[in-house]
Amino acid sequence: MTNKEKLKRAIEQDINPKDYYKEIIKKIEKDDKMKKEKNLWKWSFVPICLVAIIGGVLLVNNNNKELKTNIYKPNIETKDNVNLYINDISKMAQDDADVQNADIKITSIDSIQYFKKITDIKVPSDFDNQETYGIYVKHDRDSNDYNILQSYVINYSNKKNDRNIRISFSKENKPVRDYYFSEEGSRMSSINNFELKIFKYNKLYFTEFNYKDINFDIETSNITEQELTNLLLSILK
Amino acid sequence: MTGQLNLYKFNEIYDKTHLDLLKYVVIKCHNINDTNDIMQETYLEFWNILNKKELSDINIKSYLIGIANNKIKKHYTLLQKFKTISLFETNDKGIELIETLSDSMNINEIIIREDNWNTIWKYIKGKKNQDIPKVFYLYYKLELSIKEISKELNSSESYIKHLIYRTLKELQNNFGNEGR
Repeated sequence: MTNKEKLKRAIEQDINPKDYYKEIIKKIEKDDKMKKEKNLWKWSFVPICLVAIIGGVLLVNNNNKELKTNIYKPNIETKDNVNLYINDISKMAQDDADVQNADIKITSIDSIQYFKKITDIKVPSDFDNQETYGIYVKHDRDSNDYNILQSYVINYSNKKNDRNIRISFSKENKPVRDYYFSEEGSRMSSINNFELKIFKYNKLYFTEFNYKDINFDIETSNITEQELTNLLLSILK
Repeated sequence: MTGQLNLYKFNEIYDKTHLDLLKYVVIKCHNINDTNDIMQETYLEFWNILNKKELSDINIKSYLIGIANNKIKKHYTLLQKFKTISLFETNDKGIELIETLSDSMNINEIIIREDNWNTIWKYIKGKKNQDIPKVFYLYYKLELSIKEISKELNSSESYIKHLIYRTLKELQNNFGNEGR
């Protein structure tokens, strides 16, 4: 190795984009964690109070009873072929939701071959942004290559109002999620004779189902129950 | 998942911009030792903006340079600016010196007694005239020509040559067989 190459290597070791990129990501993750904790605290304050009050009442009445999912029928324009129940888990303890960091790589893509089957998706008219991604995973844990296509994601949004609909789907796999929660005690809904479970957590709605041999996972944020119904009706025809 | 999508966007933008931005920060900062801090601060602020605003209609590179500029301004107090002001100006003396040194100095011909180039780079970075580590970074790391460096640093070519050859001579004296 020449002196020039040695000096170049010494400079690269000192001013190294990989090092400060790692620091940036560390700080991003730290900030993100702090924000989540802050938000969780903010949003959980009311449920915590309610849980405390209800828990107190339940303790008096029956020490062995557990706090259950709140199931209700949404106030929407109903049709004969729509029979919805929302399983509201907002008041469930945080431990019931298992948050995981999925080891994935997200790559922007232009088109999806079987997307045609679901092109008539009805999203609210103010949603002005659409992005399409492929979610890739490693073929084994020790590999550095994210070369297995796990699922696709179509993300519709109105960023100005923080409204979002994320539709993940795959023919081969169940789309990855970064959280899981207990479905115990939940109730089925029915749309066009197709059964599915709809969950609510504060301003988020979730559902997952297999329709026409495609595994769907839908997560929405800040949309109304009517908008959710319209969206599901446009998929489950 | 929204956070992961933003992180994907961030990574994509980082990959496309960080080398150009690094070059810009090296050129504009007052002390090359602050480069890593300024780069981190710039991208962290960009991350925060990315999470709050829609940035689709802007030139991301120019936008990042704008953020970096503000970070550089904030990073240095007026006192520090005076402390690190260049002692060497572009003048004819430099040209005279180059004429005696230019053909006799090549970094690959220096015989370094102590083969520790991390120490040598640290020595170069510690120079009071911070144009010296900047020129070494641009010349030996980015492999820009003397002409390109003179444009980037808004100095004459003879001044750039002068910095390189004078420092190489110092390295020869301090770290070469006859030095220290």
